Amino acid sequence: MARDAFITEAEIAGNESGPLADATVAVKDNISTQGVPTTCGSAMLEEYVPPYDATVVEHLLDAGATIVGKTNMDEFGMGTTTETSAFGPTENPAAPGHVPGGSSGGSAAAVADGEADLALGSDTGGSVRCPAAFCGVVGIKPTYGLVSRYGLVSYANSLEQIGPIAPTVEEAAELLDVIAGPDPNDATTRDEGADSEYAAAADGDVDGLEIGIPTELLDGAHEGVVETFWDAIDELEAQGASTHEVSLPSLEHAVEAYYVIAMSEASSNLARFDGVRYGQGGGFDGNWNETFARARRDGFGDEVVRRILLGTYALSAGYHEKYYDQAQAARAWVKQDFDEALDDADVLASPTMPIPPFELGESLDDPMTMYLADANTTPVNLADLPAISVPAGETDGLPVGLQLVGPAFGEETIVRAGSALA
Amino acid sequence: MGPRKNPGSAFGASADGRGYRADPLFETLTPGPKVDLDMSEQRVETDDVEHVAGLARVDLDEGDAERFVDQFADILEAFDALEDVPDVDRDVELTNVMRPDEERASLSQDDALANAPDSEDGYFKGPNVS
Repeated sequence: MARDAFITEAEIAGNESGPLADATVAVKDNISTQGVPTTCGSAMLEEYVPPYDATVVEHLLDAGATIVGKTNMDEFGMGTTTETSAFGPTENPAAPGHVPGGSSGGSAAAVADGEADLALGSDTGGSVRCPAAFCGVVGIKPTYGLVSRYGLVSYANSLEQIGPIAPTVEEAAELLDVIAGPDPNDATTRDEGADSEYAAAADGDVDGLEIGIPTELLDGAHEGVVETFWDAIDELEAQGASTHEVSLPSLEHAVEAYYVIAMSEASSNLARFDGVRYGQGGGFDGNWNETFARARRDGFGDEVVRRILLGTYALSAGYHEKYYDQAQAARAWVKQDFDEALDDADVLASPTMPIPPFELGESLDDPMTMYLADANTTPVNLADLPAISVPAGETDGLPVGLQLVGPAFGEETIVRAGSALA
Repeated sequence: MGPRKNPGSAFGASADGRGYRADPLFETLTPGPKVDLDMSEQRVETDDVEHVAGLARVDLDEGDAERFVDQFADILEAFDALEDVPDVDRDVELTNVMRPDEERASLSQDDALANAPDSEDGYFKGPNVS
C-alpha cells in the first residue's frame, strides 16, 4: 500500500559488510543521492539529479545499507502532513484515510508499512518526530550539529537536522550511530557524535530517571492524546521513573518564533532556485528578474510561495525588528527555559503532537491550523536540543507519540528513556 | 520617543531596538515615503502581497494575491504575539570554524552544468540581465 511513500524507487547497494549490511533504508527526497533524482517534493526540482552524495548517504553506504528509494515529503519540508508535495499525498499505513504527518511523511510511512527497515528524515520544526508519532514508529531529532547537513537541501539551516526513523528505539539509535559525527563539509558539526554508542544505551533502564512535564505542552491538547500521554507516563513511573510538572512560559511563543525564523531563512535559502543553474527554467522571454520570477511561480507550490513571501516580509526594512529580532529574542528565551528545566530533570516529556493525525485534505486550506499543530515540536529546534518520539498508544485507533527532550548532546539519555516504551 | 527615522535598509535598528512599540508608524518595504501602514493591524491588502512578491522575485498567478491576503493577515496577527517576548541575556557561545585555504578537488564543469536547463560553451545560459 505504501507505494505512495516513495517519489523514486531505487536500489543503491552499499558495502558488503557493516553494521547495516542487512538493512534497507529509505531516504527523504531532500537528501542528495548521486545519480538518483532528489526532488524535495517540488516541481521545481522534478528533473534534478545531484552530482554528489550527502555525507549521511556516504555513511549509510559505508555501513552496508541498501537504499531502496527516495521518500515523499512536504515540498522543501514545508508542511506537517506531506500533502504539499508536488507528487501527491501519502496515506498513513497505521491510520488509513489520514495523513502520515510531515514533512518526512514518506519516510515514516515506508517504515510503518515495512517497505524499508529504517529511514532518514529531516527535522526543522518536528518533521521527523511528527510523522513518527502519526505512523506509530520511532523518530529522533538530534542535537543541532550532531549530524552533517552537507547534501541536505536547505530550508531553515539554523534549525534543521537529519534524523533516523525506525520501528524501535534501538534500531533508530543504531542508525543515528552511523550518521552522527563531525564533517569537514559542514562547519556546524561538532565532535560529540564521533564515537557514539547510542544503541548500547537502549537498555530500557529508567529506574531513578527524573522526568519534567512542561504544563504548556499539555494545555489545549486533544483529550484522547492527553489520556494516552498520561498512560505512557504511568508506565514509565511503574518502571522506576519519577515525574514533576514544570512551567516554561516561553513555550507559548515558540510556534510564532519558529515560523518567523524558518520563513525568513527559507526566503534566503530558496533564492538559489532561479531556473538557470538547476531546476525548472522560466524560458528567455523578458529580462532576468521577469524570467526568474516566472520560473519560481511555476516551480513552487502555494505553501512554499507563502513562506517565501512572509519570510521576505519579516526581514524587510521597518519590519525585521518587529518580527525577526523578536523571534530571535524568543529563541533565546526558549533556550533559557529549557536549560533551567533540564537542571532539575533528566528529560522533559510531552505528547509529540497535540492532536491525532489529520484526515487527508483536512488542513490544506488553513495554514494556521497546520502551523499550530507544531506547538510541541518547534520549541526543541529553537533550543537546538535532541528529542525522540516513541509510540505511546492510540486514541480512537489513531497513533499517539510521546516526546522526550534531553540536554544538548544527551542522545544517550533520551534513547535510554525511550527504550523503556519501544 | 519621537517618530523613527526611516532606516532605508534592513539594518537600521532604532536606538533602543524596540522603537515600534511606542510608535505606530511603519516604513514601507522599500525606502521611500513613510506610510502609516501595518499589515497586521490594518489587514493586509492585495497590493501588499504583490509588493512583497516583487521583492521575493515571485511572479504571482492571477488570483494568488486574493487567496493569500486573508491567510497572511491571520498569520501576521499570530506573529504579533512576539511583542510580549521579554529581552533575555543571550550568552551565545559561537566560534568561527576555519580551515586552511588550500586547493582541493571540486565538481567538474560538466557535472556542474548537468542540471542547467541551458548552457553554452561550458557556461550557464540565462536571460538578459536587463
